[in-house]
Amino acid sequence: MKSEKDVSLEEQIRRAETIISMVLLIGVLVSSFLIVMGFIVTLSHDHILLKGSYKTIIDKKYQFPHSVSSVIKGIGQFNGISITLLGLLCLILTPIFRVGASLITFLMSKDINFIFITAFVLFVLLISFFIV
Amino acid sequence: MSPFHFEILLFVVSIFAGVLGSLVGIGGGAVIVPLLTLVFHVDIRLAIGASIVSVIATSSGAAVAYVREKMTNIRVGMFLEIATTVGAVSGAIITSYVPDRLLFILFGLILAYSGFSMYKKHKEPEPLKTSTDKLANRLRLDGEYIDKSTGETVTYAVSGTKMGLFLMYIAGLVSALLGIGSGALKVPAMDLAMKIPLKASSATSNFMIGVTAAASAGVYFSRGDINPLMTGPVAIGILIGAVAGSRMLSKLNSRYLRIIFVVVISIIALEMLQRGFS
Repeated sequence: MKSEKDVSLEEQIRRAETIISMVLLIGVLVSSFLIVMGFIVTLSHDHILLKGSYKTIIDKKYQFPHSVSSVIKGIGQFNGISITLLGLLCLILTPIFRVGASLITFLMSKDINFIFITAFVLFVLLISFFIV
Repeated sequence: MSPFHFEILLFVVSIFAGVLGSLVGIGGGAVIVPLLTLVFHVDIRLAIGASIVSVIATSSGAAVAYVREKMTNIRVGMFLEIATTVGAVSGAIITSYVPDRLLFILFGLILAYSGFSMYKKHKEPEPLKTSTDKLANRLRLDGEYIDKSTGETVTYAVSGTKMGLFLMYIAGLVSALLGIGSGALKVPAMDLAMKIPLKASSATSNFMIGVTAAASAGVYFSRGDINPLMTGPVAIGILIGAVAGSRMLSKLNSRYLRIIFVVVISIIALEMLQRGFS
Protein backbone atom coordinates (compact mmCIF):
# COMPACT_ATOMS: atom_id res chain seq x y z
CA MET A 1 0.00 0.00 0.00
CA LYS A 2 1.23 3.45 -0.85
CA SER A 3 0.62 6.34 1.52
CA GLU A 4 -0.33 9.78 0.23
CA LYS A 5 3.14 11.00 1.08
CA ASP A 6 4.66 8.35 -1.20
CA VAL A 7 2.36 9.32 -4.04
CA SER A 8 3.28 12.99 -3.85
CA LEU A 9 6.96 12.05 -3.70
CA GLU A 10 6.53 9.87 -6.76
CA GLU A 11 4.83 12.77 -8.49
CA GLN A 12 7.78 14.99 -7.59
CA ILE A 13 10.22 12.48 -9.01
CA ARG A 14 8.21 12.12 -12.20
CA ARG A 15 8.26 15.89 -12.58
CA ALA A 16 12.02 15.91 -12.04
CA GLU A 17 12.32 13.17 -14.69
CA THR A 18 10.42 15.31 -17.18
CA ILE A 19 12.69 18.26 -16.50
CA ILE A 20 15.76 16.04 -16.87
CA SER A 21 14.61 14.70 -20.22
CA MET A 22 14.06 18.25 -21.46
CA VAL A 23 17.59 19.12 -20.35
CA LEU A 24 18.82 16.06 -22.28
CA LEU A 25 17.13 17.36 -25.39
CA ILE A 26 18.64 20.81 -24.90
CA GLY A 27 22.06 19.14 -24.41
CA VAL A 28 21.70 17.34 -27.73
CA LEU A 29 20.59 20.51 -29.52
CA VAL A 30 23.42 22.62 -28.09
CA SER A 31 26.05 20.01 -28.99
CA SER A 32 24.65 19.62 -32.51
CA PHE A 33 24.79 23.39 -32.94
CA LEU A 34 28.45 23.49 -31.80
CA ILE A 35 29.41 20.58 -34.07
CA VAL A 36 27.88 22.30 -37.13
CA MET A 37 29.34 25.70 -36.11
CA GLY A 38 32.79 24.13 -35.82
CA PHE A 39 32.42 22.63 -39.27
CA ILE A 40 31.49 26.00 -40.80
CA VAL A 41 34.38 27.76 -39.06
CA THR A 42 36.80 25.03 -40.21
CA LEU A 43 35.51 25.39 -43.75
CA SER A 44 35.96 29.17 -43.82
CA HIS A 45 39.20 29.58 -41.83
CA ASP A 46 41.13 26.47 -42.64
CA HIS A 47 42.08 24.82 -45.91
CA ILE A 48 42.16 21.30 -44.56
CA LEU A 49 38.72 20.40 -45.94
CA LEU A 50 39.32 21.78 -49.44
CA LYS A 51 42.84 20.64 -50.21
CA GLY A 52 44.14 17.16 -50.92
CA SER A 53 42.43 13.82 -50.39
CA TYR A 54 40.01 12.69 -47.69
CA LYS A 55 42.60 10.06 -46.79
CA THR A 56 44.56 12.73 -44.87
CA ILE A 57 41.76 13.33 -42.37
CA ILE A 58 40.91 9.68 -41.76
CA ASP A 59 44.53 8.67 -41.30
CA LYS A 60 45.69 7.54 -37.87
CA LYS A 61 48.50 10.10 -38.08
CA TYR A 62 46.09 13.04 -38.44
CA GLN A 63 46.46 15.11 -35.28
CA PHE A 64 43.69 16.87 -33.32
CA PRO A 65 43.24 17.97 -29.68
CA HIS A 66 42.27 15.19 -27.29
CA SER A 67 42.30 16.72 -23.84
CA VAL A 68 39.80 19.13 -22.31
CA SER A 69 42.50 21.78 -21.79
CA SER A 70 43.75 21.65 -25.40
CA VAL A 71 40.14 21.90 -26.66
CA ILE A 72 39.56 25.02 -24.52
CA LYS A 73 42.87 26.49 -25.71
CA GLY A 74 41.80 25.90 -29.33
CA ILE A 75 38.48 27.63 -28.78
CA GLY A 76 40.36 30.71 -27.50
CA GLN A 77 42.00 30.79 -30.93
CA PHE A 78 38.60 30.34 -32.66
CA ASN A 79 39.71 27.01 -34.06
CA GLY A 80 36.84 25.24 -35.86
CA ILE A 81 37.99 21.71 -35.04
CA SER A 82 38.10 22.61 -31.35
CA ILE A 83 34.56 23.99 -31.53
CA THR A 84 33.37 20.69 -33.04
CA LEU A 85 35.22 18.82 -30.30
CA LEU A 86 33.53 20.95 -27.64
CA GLY A 87 30.20 19.94 -29.17
CA LEU A 88 31.23 16.28 -29.06
CA LEU A 89 32.35 16.68 -25.44
CA CYS A 90 28.96 18.22 -24.55
CA LEU A 91 27.32 15.21 -26.16
CA ILE A 92 29.46 12.77 -24.11
CA LEU A 93 28.70 14.74 -20.94
CA THR A 94 24.91 14.71 -21.51
CA PRO A 95 24.25 11.19 -20.10
CA ILE A 96 26.71 11.89 -17.28
CA PHE A 97 24.73 14.97 -16.41
CA ARG A 98 21.62 12.81 -16.51
CA VAL A 99 23.06 10.45 -13.89
CA GLY A 100 23.97 13.48 -11.77
CA ALA A 101 20.38 14.66 -11.97
CA SER A 102 19.11 11.19 -10.97
CA LEU A 103 21.36 11.39 -7.92
CA ILE A 104 19.51 14.56 -6.93
CA THR A 105 16.12 12.84 -7.21
CA PHE A 106 17.37 9.95 -5.04
CA LEU A 107 18.71 12.45 -2.51
CA MET A 108 15.26 14.08 -2.53
CA SER A 109 13.61 10.77 -1.70
CA LYS A 110 16.36 9.95 0.87
CA ASP A 111 16.86 6.54 -0.69
CA ILE A 112 20.21 5.57 0.88
CA ASN A 113 20.84 2.44 -1.26
CA PHE A 114 20.25 4.29 -4.49
CA ILE A 115 22.21 7.35 -3.38
CA PHE A 116 25.23 5.04 -3.09
CA ILE A 117 24.49 3.18 -6.34
CA THR A 118 24.08 6.39 -8.36
CA ALA A 119 27.10 8.06 -6.76
CA PHE A 120 29.19 5.01 -7.71
CA VAL A 121 28.00 5.12 -11.34
CA LEU A 122 28.74 8.85 -11.48
CA PHE A 123 32.21 8.22 -10.06
CA VAL A 124 33.00 5.59 -12.72
CA LEU A 125 31.77 7.94 -15.47
CA LEU A 126 33.90 10.82 -14.23
CA ILE A 127 37.12 8.80 -13.81
CA SER A 128 36.71 7.46 -17.37
CA PHE A 129 38.00 10.81 -18.64
CA PHE A 130 41.29 10.30 -16.82
CA ILE A 131 42.00 6.80 -18.13
CA VAL A 132 44.11 6.60 -21.25
CA MET B 1 37.60 12.81 -53.22
CA SER B 2 38.28 16.01 -51.26
CA PRO B 3 37.83 15.99 -47.47
CA PHE B 4 34.83 18.32 -47.90
CA HIS B 5 33.00 15.88 -50.19
CA PHE B 6 33.88 13.05 -47.85
CA GLU B 7 32.30 14.95 -44.93
CA ILE B 8 29.07 15.50 -46.89
CA LEU B 9 28.97 11.87 -48.05
CA LEU B 10 29.60 10.65 -44.50
CA PHE B 11 26.76 12.85 -43.23
CA VAL B 12 24.26 11.58 -45.82
CA VAL B 13 25.22 7.93 -45.35
CA SER B 14 24.93 8.33 -41.57
CA ILE B 15 21.35 9.58 -41.97
CA PHE B 16 20.51 6.32 -43.77
CA ALA B 17 22.36 4.30 -41.12
CA GLY B 18 20.35 6.10 -38.42
CA VAL B 19 17.03 5.43 -40.17
CA LEU B 20 17.81 1.74 -40.70
CA GLY B 21 19.21 1.34 -37.21
CA SER B 22 16.18 2.81 -35.50
CA LEU B 23 13.66 0.99 -37.71
CA VAL B 24 14.92 -2.39 -36.61
CA GLY B 25 16.14 -1.34 -33.18
CA ILE B 26 19.78 -2.24 -33.66
CA GLY B 27 21.33 1.24 -33.53
CA GLY B 28 23.20 3.17 -36.22
CA GLY B 29 26.63 2.09 -34.98
CA ALA B 30 26.11 -1.47 -36.16
CA VAL B 31 25.87 -0.10 -39.71
CA ILE B 32 28.38 2.74 -39.59
CA VAL B 33 31.40 0.79 -38.26
CA PRO B 34 31.35 -1.79 -41.09
CA LEU B 35 30.78 1.01 -43.60
CA LEU B 36 33.73 3.09 -42.40
CA THR B 37 36.09 0.15 -42.15
CA LEU B 38 35.06 -1.93 -45.18
CA VAL B 39 34.29 0.85 -47.69
CA PHE B 40 36.52 3.75 -46.63
CA HIS B 41 39.28 1.69 -44.96
CA VAL B 42 39.15 3.78 -41.81
CA ASP B 43 41.12 2.39 -38.87
CA ILE B 44 38.67 0.26 -36.85
CA ARG B 45 39.39 2.10 -33.59
CA LEU B 46 38.62 5.51 -35.14
CA ALA B 47 35.41 4.04 -36.61
CA ILE B 48 34.44 2.71 -33.17
CA GLY B 49 35.21 6.12 -31.60
CA ALA B 50 32.88 7.85 -34.08
CA SER B 51 30.21 5.24 -33.53
CA ILE B 52 30.22 5.35 -29.73
CA VAL B 53 29.50 9.10 -29.77
CA SER B 54 26.63 8.58 -32.21
CA VAL B 55 25.19 5.99 -29.80
CA ILE B 56 25.06 8.72 -27.14
CA ALA B 57 23.42 11.18 -29.55
CA THR B 58 20.70 8.69 -30.49
CA SER B 59 19.92 7.56 -26.96
CA SER B 60 19.83 11.09 -25.53
CA GLY B 61 17.70 12.32 -28.41
CA ALA B 62 15.18 9.55 -27.80
CA ALA B 63 15.17 9.73 -23.99
CA VAL B 64 12.34 12.27 -23.88
CA ALA B 65 9.87 9.84 -25.41
CA TYR B 66 10.92 6.90 -23.27
CA VAL B 67 10.49 8.73 -20.00
CA ARG B 68 7.10 9.99 -21.15
CA GLU B 69 5.98 6.43 -21.85
CA LYS B 70 6.70 5.55 -18.19
CA MET B 71 7.79 2.04 -19.16
CA THR B 72 11.37 2.57 -18.09
CA ASN B 73 12.26 1.04 -14.73
CA ILE B 74 14.72 3.67 -13.58
CA ARG B 75 15.69 1.78 -10.42
CA VAL B 76 16.56 -1.37 -12.36
CA GLY B 77 18.40 0.76 -14.95
CA MET B 78 20.49 2.58 -12.38
CA PHE B 79 21.25 -0.64 -10.47
CA LEU B 80 22.46 -2.41 -13.62
CA GLU B 81 24.52 0.59 -14.70
CA ILE B 82 26.93 -0.35 -11.90
CA ALA B 83 27.88 -3.31 -14.10
CA THR B 84 27.59 -1.73 -17.57
CA THR B 85 29.79 1.28 -16.74
CA VAL B 86 32.48 -0.85 -15.07
CA GLY B 87 32.27 -3.22 -18.06
CA ALA B 88 32.56 -0.30 -20.49
CA VAL B 89 35.59 1.20 -18.77
CA SER B 90 37.35 -2.18 -18.66
CA GLY B 91 36.46 -2.75 -22.32
CA ALA B 92 37.87 0.64 -23.32
CA ILE B 93 41.09 -0.19 -21.45
CA ILE B 94 41.61 -3.67 -22.90
CA THR B 95 40.83 -2.57 -26.47
CA SER B 96 44.42 -1.30 -26.79
CA TYR B 97 45.64 -4.87 -26.31
CA VAL B 98 43.07 -6.54 -28.57
CA PRO B 99 44.31 -7.17 -32.13
CA ASP B 100 42.28 -5.49 -34.90
CA ARG B 101 41.30 -8.79 -36.52
CA LEU B 102 39.78 -10.01 -33.26
CA LEU B 103 37.64 -6.83 -33.18
CA PHE B 104 36.40 -7.63 -36.71
CA ILE B 105 35.56 -11.21 -35.70
CA LEU B 106 33.79 -10.13 -32.51
CA PHE B 107 31.85 -7.50 -34.45
CA GLY B 108 30.76 -10.07 -37.02
CA LEU B 109 29.63 -12.50 -34.32
CA ILE B 110 27.68 -9.91 -32.31
CA LEU B 111 26.03 -8.63 -35.49
CA ALA B 112 25.03 -12.15 -36.52
CA TYR B 113 23.64 -12.77 -33.04
CA SER B 114 21.69 -9.46 -33.14
CA GLY B 115 20.20 -10.38 -36.49
CA PHE B 116 19.24 -13.81 -35.23
CA SER B 117 17.65 -12.58 -31.98
CA MET B 118 15.72 -9.94 -33.96
CA TYR B 119 14.29 -12.62 -36.20
CA LYS B 120 13.42 -15.41 -33.81
CA LYS B 121 9.98 -15.44 -32.32
CA HIS B 122 9.76 -14.44 -28.73
CA LYS B 123 7.25 -16.01 -26.39
CA GLU B 124 6.52 -13.78 -23.46
CA PRO B 125 6.03 -15.55 -20.11
CA GLU B 126 3.70 -14.34 -17.36
CA PRO B 127 5.18 -11.53 -15.25
CA LEU B 128 6.70 -12.67 -11.97
CA LYS B 129 4.35 -11.96 -9.02
CA THR B 130 6.74 -12.31 -6.09
CA SER B 131 10.47 -12.68 -5.98
CA THR B 132 12.77 -14.58 -3.61
CA ASP B 133 15.76 -12.52 -4.77
CA LYS B 134 16.91 -10.74 -1.59
CA LEU B 135 18.77 -7.95 -3.36
CA ALA B 136 15.85 -7.20 -5.69
CA ASN B 137 13.46 -6.96 -2.74
CA ARG B 138 15.81 -4.87 -0.66
CA LEU B 139 16.33 -2.38 -3.48
CA ARG B 140 12.61 -2.47 -4.38
CA LEU B 141 13.29 -3.18 -8.05
CA ASP B 142 9.73 -4.32 -8.84
CA GLY B 143 7.82 -2.10 -11.22
CA GLU B 144 4.66 -1.52 -13.19
CA TYR B 145 3.59 -0.08 -16.54
CA ILE B 146 0.42 0.36 -18.55
CA ASP B 147 0.14 -1.96 -21.54
CA LYS B 148 -1.13 0.20 -24.39
CA SER B 149 -2.70 -2.69 -26.32
CA THR B 150 -4.87 -3.88 -23.42
CA GLY B 151 -5.00 -0.75 -21.24
CA GLU B 152 -4.16 -2.88 -18.21
CA THR B 153 -1.56 -2.09 -15.58
CA VAL B 154 1.09 -4.80 -15.52
CA THR B 155 2.95 -5.21 -12.22
CA TYR B 156 6.04 -7.37 -12.03
CA ALA B 157 8.66 -8.56 -9.57
CA VAL B 158 12.34 -8.93 -10.42
CA SER B 159 14.71 -11.85 -9.82
CA GLY B 160 18.15 -13.00 -10.97
CA THR B 161 19.97 -9.81 -9.97
CA LYS B 162 23.41 -11.49 -9.79
CA MET B 163 23.08 -13.05 -13.23
CA GLY B 164 21.71 -9.74 -14.53
CA LEU B 165 24.75 -7.84 -13.22
CA PHE B 166 27.12 -10.37 -14.78
CA LEU B 167 25.43 -10.21 -18.19
CA MET B 168 25.36 -6.41 -18.04
CA TYR B 169 29.09 -6.35 -17.36
CA ILE B 170 29.56 -8.34 -20.58
CA ALA B 171 27.17 -5.99 -22.43
CA GLY B 172 29.18 -2.96 -21.24
CA LEU B 173 32.43 -4.63 -22.28
CA VAL B 174 31.13 -5.44 -25.77
CA SER B 175 29.66 -1.96 -26.15
CA ALA B 176 33.03 -0.36 -25.40
CA LEU B 177 35.02 -2.77 -27.57
CA LEU B 178 32.78 -2.35 -30.62
CA GLY B 179 31.27 1.12 -30.24
CA ILE B 180 27.70 -0.13 -30.34
CA GLY B 181 24.77 0.27 -27.94
CA SER B 182 24.56 -3.52 -27.42
CA GLY B 183 20.82 -3.42 -26.75
CA ALA B 184 20.71 -6.93 -28.24
CA LEU B 185 22.60 -8.11 -25.15
CA LYS B 186 20.94 -5.85 -22.60
CA VAL B 187 17.35 -6.81 -23.38
CA PRO B 188 17.80 -10.60 -22.89
CA ALA B 189 19.77 -9.96 -19.69
CA MET B 190 16.69 -8.27 -18.20
CA ASP B 191 14.02 -10.22 -19.98
CA LEU B 192 15.40 -13.78 -19.67
CA ALA B 193 17.65 -13.59 -16.61
CA MET B 194 15.69 -11.13 -14.47
CA LYS B 195 12.15 -11.96 -15.68
CA ILE B 196 11.31 -8.32 -16.51
CA PRO B 197 8.53 -8.01 -19.15
CA LEU B 198 9.88 -7.39 -22.65
CA LYS B 199 8.41 -3.89 -23.05
CA ALA B 200 9.88 -2.69 -19.76
CA SER B 201 13.20 -4.40 -20.65
CA SER B 202 13.42 -2.62 -24.02
CA ALA B 203 12.60 0.81 -22.57
CA THR B 204 15.07 0.33 -19.71
CA SER B 205 17.76 -0.88 -22.14
CA ASN B 206 17.32 2.28 -24.24
CA PHE B 207 17.65 4.36 -21.10
CA MET B 208 20.91 2.62 -20.19
CA ILE B 209 22.61 2.66 -23.61
CA GLY B 210 23.67 6.33 -23.47
CA VAL B 211 25.22 6.02 -20.02
CA THR B 212 27.12 2.86 -20.99
CA ALA B 213 28.44 4.55 -24.14
CA ALA B 214 29.48 7.68 -22.22
CA ALA B 215 31.64 5.55 -19.89
CA SER B 216 33.83 4.37 -22.77
CA ALA B 217 33.59 7.56 -24.87
CA GLY B 218 35.58 9.39 -22.17
CA VAL B 219 38.43 6.89 -22.55
CA TYR B 220 38.28 7.00 -26.37
CA PHE B 221 38.38 10.81 -26.27
CA SER B 222 41.45 11.09 -24.05
CA ARG B 223 43.21 8.47 -26.15
CA GLY B 224 42.65 10.54 -29.32
CA ASP B 225 40.28 8.08 -31.02
CA ILE B 226 37.42 10.58 -31.40
CA ASN B 227 38.41 12.17 -34.73
CA PRO B 228 36.24 15.34 -34.87
CA LEU B 229 36.12 15.46 -38.68
CA MET B 230 34.60 11.97 -38.80
CA THR B 231 32.66 11.86 -35.54
CA GLY B 232 30.90 15.19 -36.18
CA PRO B 233 29.10 14.27 -39.44
CA VAL B 234 28.43 10.71 -38.22
CA ALA B 235 26.88 11.83 -34.91
CA ILE B 236 24.64 14.49 -36.48
CA GLY B 237 23.67 12.22 -39.39
CA ILE B 238 22.74 9.27 -37.19
CA LEU B 239 20.83 11.55 -34.82
CA ILE B 240 18.71 12.97 -37.65
CA GLY B 241 18.23 9.51 -39.14
CA ALA B 242 17.19 7.98 -35.83
CA VAL B 243 14.58 10.68 -35.19
CA ALA B 244 13.20 10.27 -38.73
CA GLY B 245 13.27 6.48 -38.38
CA SER B 246 11.30 6.46 -35.15
CA ARG B 247 8.59 8.59 -36.81
CA MET B 248 8.39 6.22 -39.77
CA LEU B 249 8.16 3.17 -37.53
CA SER B 250 4.41 3.25 -37.00
CA LYS B 251 3.68 3.65 -40.70
CA LEU B 252 5.75 0.78 -42.00
CA ASN B 253 5.10 -2.92 -42.07
CA SER B 254 7.96 -3.90 -39.84
CA ARG B 255 7.73 -7.63 -40.60
CA TYR B 256 9.04 -7.39 -44.18
CA LEU B 257 11.51 -4.77 -43.13
CA ARG B 258 12.92 -7.10 -40.52
CA ILE B 259 13.37 -9.92 -43.01
CA ILE B 260 15.19 -7.63 -45.42
CA PHE B 261 17.35 -6.30 -42.67
CA VAL B 262 18.24 -9.72 -41.30
CA VAL B 263 19.58 -10.52 -44.76
CA VAL B 264 21.56 -7.26 -44.91
CA ILE B 265 22.95 -7.79 -41.42
CA SER B 266 24.01 -11.34 -42.22
CA ILE B 267 25.93 -10.09 -45.25
CA ILE B 268 27.66 -7.37 -43.22
CA ALA B 269 28.43 -9.89 -40.46
CA LEU B 270 30.04 -12.24 -43.00
CA GLU B 271 32.08 -9.38 -44.49
CA MET B 272 33.36 -8.42 -41.05
CA LEU B 273 34.20 -12.04 -40.22
CA GLN B 274 36.00 -12.44 -43.52
CA ARG B 275 38.07 -9.34 -42.77
CA GLY B 276 38.94 -10.80 -39.38
CA PHE B 277 39.99 -14.19 -40.70
CA SER B 278 41.79 -13.11 -43.88
